[in-house]
Amino acid sequence: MATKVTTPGKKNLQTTLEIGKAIRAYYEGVKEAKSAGKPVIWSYGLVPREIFHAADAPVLYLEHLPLMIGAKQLSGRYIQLAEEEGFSRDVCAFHRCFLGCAVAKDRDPYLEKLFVSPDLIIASNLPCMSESKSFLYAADHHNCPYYFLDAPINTWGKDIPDYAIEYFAGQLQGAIDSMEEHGFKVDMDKLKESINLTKKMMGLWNEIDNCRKTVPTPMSTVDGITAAYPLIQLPGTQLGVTLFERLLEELKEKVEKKQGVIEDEKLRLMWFGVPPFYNMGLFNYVEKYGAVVVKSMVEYIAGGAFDPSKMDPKKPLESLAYKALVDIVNPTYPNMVDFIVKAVEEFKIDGLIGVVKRSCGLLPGYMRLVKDAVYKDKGIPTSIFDLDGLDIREYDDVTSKANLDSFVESLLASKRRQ
Amino acid sequence: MLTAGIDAGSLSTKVVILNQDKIMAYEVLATGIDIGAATKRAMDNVLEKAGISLQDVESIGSTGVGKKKVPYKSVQGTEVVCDTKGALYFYPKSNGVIDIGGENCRAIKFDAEGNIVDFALNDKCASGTGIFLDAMAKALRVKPEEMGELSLQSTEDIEVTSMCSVFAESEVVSMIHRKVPKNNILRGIHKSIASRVVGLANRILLEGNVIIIGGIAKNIGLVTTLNELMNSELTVPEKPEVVGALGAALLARERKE
Repeated sequence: MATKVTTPGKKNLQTTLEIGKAIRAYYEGVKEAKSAGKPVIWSYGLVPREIFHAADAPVLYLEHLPLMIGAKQLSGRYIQLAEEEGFSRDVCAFHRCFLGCAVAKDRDPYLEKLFVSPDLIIASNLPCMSESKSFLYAADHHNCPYYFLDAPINTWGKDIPDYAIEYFAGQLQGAIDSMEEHGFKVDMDKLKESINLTKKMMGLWNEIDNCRKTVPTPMSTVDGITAAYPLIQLPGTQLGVTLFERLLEELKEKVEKKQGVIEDEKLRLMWFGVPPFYNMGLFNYVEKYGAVVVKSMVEYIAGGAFDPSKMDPKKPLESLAYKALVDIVNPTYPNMVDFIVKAVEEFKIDGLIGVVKRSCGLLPGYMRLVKDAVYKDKGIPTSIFDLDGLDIREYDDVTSKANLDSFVESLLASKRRQ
Repeated sequence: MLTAGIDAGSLSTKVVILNQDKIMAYEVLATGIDIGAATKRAMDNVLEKAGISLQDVESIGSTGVGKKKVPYKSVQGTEVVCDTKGALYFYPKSNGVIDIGGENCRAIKFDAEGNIVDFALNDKCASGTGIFLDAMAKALRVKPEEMGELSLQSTEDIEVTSMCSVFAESEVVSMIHRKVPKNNILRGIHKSIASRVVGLANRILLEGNVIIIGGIAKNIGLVTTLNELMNSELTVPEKPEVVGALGAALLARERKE
């Protein structure tokens, strides 16, 4: 499935290379745990991972494995396998890819290094209901128990009412009970400690963002997407905190030296939608114009945009419920649209690039709202085009680059006129 | 100042020679499989028409999908930029362009100063482009240039519902077998393309003084249908197929100045 037009992204930071190593070590750890006879959980990147760390549970995350496969340009093969199982092309490409990995009889050596079969699946409707349905099929295929965490849709914005927090905290307690039924022991003291660590991580993440807001930016989204990994798999861990501390240190140094990602930063862009994991070099493509993709919306999903002061170790489940329900992908206008508008202002963005993954039932619906809001409030234009970040078979290099060329040229022309 | 503009499109290559603000000559020919050779042929022809040599041309601009393969040193511009410049040359009061090319379709909105406000390109699907119309013309055994007039003689509104050009062709063949009159099928095909184009234009809230360019703009049936669906009066310039090439020439002149 590999094509010559796609290239990996060029990273600029030492710490993101270290984070890459941490990712590999994480998967090796899950694999080793399984070999040692420990049960393995499959779950999502939005289920509060702190409960898994509190049980030392090895977990494979539905969203993360496909992007690892996508980065190696192997996603097409596994997506195809899911389609052969009867899953429509309209089903989310991430879910199809994960399901393809789950049902494959022969796996590529790279996937074989990452893949372990589940002993318990903890599913949820957060961020989207189709995930839970995909996992039902996987649970049936692997003949393992399945627990469903019901998350209320956020219709409240940033202030989640107590009854919703209580409800989801109850759901988390149910997940813990289910884990304990199936051979895991959740250490509540460790869980409380993890709340402190998550709070610390979030504080560091905000400081990292502040560094990235400087002109020239010391970090593009090519590094940013890898850097967001600790938010997905390592919240509530000391390793997550340590990695963010190192990253912050590196960025502070670059900011002090005024070292940007490129020498002459002319344009600052933001990416809304799923990035092209099989072709992260597309982010670097615009650098020839003096443009940098400073930030990507996906860096915020899975716990990158909550108020850390609301994390209370005395109320661990309530804190985690708040963190999950307020996530920007738990649909509500203020949480997503206002958030992007604010980010556009704070990161001094000149143009927003919105990509539509047709198989996604969640993000494309935001495109028009985000585009209109960003233009109305900040006068910043958005270019929207089709690009499936995971299904390499859908990728059209000529059209994607034609969109980027046209957009960047028009932004530069506007800047010249100013 | 003499400048040349090249639009190396997927189906046709266009070259324009501009003398100050006046079009001296232009040439349009099929691109074929060798963009470089097609461009050279088109350039030779247009130079002959203008009665000048390549050395007389002070600067060259290029656009189109094949712009990187043009065998001349040229200032390259995206289709969005060149279409805008070309549109404003013909109609300084225009504020938007719909360009239906061989394999691409784009809608562009700009302000009075020529700043691009917004644009939308079609995705990789060919429906809504010239190549789709060519395929339909073949299926119906009519000449592409006759499609417009024939469709205006339709007596019944029919729908071509398939969004995929391959499936649309099957749908059209099935209509032929059912003895649906060609005029009506052609009207249905134009409606199908027009609805795609209108969808693109609506994405960027395009309205006002909009011009339609590209070879397809010569199809009166499609333009009529577009006007109906957009509830507007699209303007067709005198030489709609060379507007992009003209824009490339203007871009080259600007840079030279």
